[in-house]
Amino acid sequence: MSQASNTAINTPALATEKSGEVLLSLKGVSKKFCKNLKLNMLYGLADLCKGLVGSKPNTTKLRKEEFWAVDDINLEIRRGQVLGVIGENGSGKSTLLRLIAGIFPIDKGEVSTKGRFAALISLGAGFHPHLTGRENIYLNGTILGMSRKEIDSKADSIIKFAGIDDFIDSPVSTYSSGMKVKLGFSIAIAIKPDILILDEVLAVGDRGFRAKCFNEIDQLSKNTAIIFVSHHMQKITRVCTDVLVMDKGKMVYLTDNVSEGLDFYFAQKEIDTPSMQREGSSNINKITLSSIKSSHTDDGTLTIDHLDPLTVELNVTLDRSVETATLFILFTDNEFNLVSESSSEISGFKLINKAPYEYNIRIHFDHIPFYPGKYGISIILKDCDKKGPLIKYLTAKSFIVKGEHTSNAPVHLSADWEC
Amino acid sequence: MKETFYKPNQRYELGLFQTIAVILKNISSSRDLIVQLFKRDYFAIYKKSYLGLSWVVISPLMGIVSWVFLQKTGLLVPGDVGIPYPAYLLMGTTMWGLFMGLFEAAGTTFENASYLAMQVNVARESIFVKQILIHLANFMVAFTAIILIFIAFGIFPSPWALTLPLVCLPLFFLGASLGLIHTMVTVVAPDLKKIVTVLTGLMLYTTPIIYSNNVPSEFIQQIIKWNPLTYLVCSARDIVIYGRLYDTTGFFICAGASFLIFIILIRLFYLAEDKIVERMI
Repeated sequence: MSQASNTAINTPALATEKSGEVLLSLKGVSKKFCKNLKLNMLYGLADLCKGLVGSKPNTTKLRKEEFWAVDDINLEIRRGQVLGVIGENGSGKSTLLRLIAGIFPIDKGEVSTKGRFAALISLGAGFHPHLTGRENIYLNGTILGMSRKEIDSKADSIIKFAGIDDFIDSPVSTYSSGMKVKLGFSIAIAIKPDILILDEVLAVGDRGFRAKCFNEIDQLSKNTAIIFVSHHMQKITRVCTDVLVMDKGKMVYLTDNVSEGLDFYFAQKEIDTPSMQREGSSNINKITLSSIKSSHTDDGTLTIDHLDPLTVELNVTLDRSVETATLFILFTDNEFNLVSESSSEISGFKLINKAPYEYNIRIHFDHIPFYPGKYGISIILKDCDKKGPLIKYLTAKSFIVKGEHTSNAPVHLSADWEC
Repeated sequence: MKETFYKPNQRYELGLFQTIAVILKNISSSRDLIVQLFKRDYFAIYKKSYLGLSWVVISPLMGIVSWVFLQKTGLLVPGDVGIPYPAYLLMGTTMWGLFMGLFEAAGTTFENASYLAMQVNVARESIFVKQILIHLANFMVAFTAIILIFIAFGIFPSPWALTLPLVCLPLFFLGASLGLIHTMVTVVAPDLKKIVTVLTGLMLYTTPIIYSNNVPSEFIQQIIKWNPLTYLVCSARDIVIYGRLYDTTGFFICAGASFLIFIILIRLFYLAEDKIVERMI
């Protein structure tokens, strides 16, 4: 985190060297909120009373228990740019989007937008469960700013894109959540906006539809400035041309090199807190990671290059009752998705337990084929004669992979290419 | 290409007349949205009801049963009202319902729009207008049915009843103004909701609609006299039944005051609405 605060960027670095019309500009944009609910209501009442006598509320100073949820954001986005906004929960991403969309009033700075604007902060906002899908197309389309005539001309293509033709005249209450998302997204993209804001709206929906959405975003992005907020780094890699990392309301990194932006984010992000469950006196006493040419971040996290080797060294104590044991090493990504695993049993290695019941185990991987990102290592130790694990040490260690290439897939398979 | 700017307190830069012009422009450009939201909320309510829109008429009829019962038992002595008491009561409570409905419709603007207001930048004036239109539509259905019931029982409304929309205009201004205060204040001070519920009940009894104004108590007479709703609600009732205003001077003073209050509150609504929305998280 310290790295983040040391690298504060407050200039519109993105757009200065790029071509294309500036569609969205933020200058020193800030927004404050109050942590205390009762004080928040009291301040609201005070502002309301001030409004009654025509006096402007002072928006630049923090009152007791107030904090800057978004603090001094400066950036410009041009047509053709897709800006991925990433950051931990509470870093101010969604608030920033609401400020850009004009849903919340800004307290400092200035936002200017050019052209037609569509903000998908929630798909299907305003859907009524008792109305049919078709009726909801008109309702939601109007809410998003389309005229009735425009909806008339686009209704068929919306229904076709959503792929729910058979249910379009059924009440939306009978739809699955995936179907609602399909309909909501199809309506939203039919607007063909100049500026499009997407806030985690592609987290649901089936795989086929998500692929269709990404293709549509690719098409739209040629003539649109898009802001895409997501916790899914593969999606950021897939659609974004630029990355903004936010932390505690501030923009801490802004780059047109997506891979670099993700590296920065992963370096400051805690993957998970280590947790160990164990049975009897078995224990993993020590775990160390090492590699050639490796370096460490400020908090001691090992950083290696893509395809570098990795060595995991363990000091393990086994309970006397255990006769033989096997080990599993699990690699997980920053969202705790299993990326890969290594089993000692498959590699033909077993621990035969005998006094003094303590072992130093070295596991060496010739090369780590993971794409850049932060990965966690979990260790599972199993008694060969029992079903359950002896030790489950989740996210025992983490390491960062750096590299030039990014991908939607977590792992790169090396191959001999011939022609 | 349309350019939009957002700055802190930018709404304060507009004067009163500019504010009203912007609000009218927003309402005009949100016509389609108002129609869609109206259709959604008006017709969808009755989609799961067997009696559907009939409830708009059934409710006021059921509402007068207890008062008629009290009158029949002699516990309530409404005084001489010139026409059968149930008819007097029905028209009076219908006009009271118009006022209360306008108050509640405006008073639930933010409550009704909380989800939408948090997700989409819609002109919140359009939600206010939709709320008012839904109530007016209900009132028109109920009023037409009541007039038909009157005629069926041989009670013919005065030709002056045609001026009812004008006579009801101050009721709209006052009901909507109080509703706007309610919708804004209850977000930042929810306790007021309970106080308002008690006060509106009290207001019903201090307005001569379930009894005539010929009450013996001097104290009650003074309350009736200083209650602006006496002039506005009773004039709306009396123009239909008797073809005259309840008290011409009182009516016009209250009408003017209601209009001024409405203008001030619509400006306050415009200044405060986005600050209110952010407190609905």
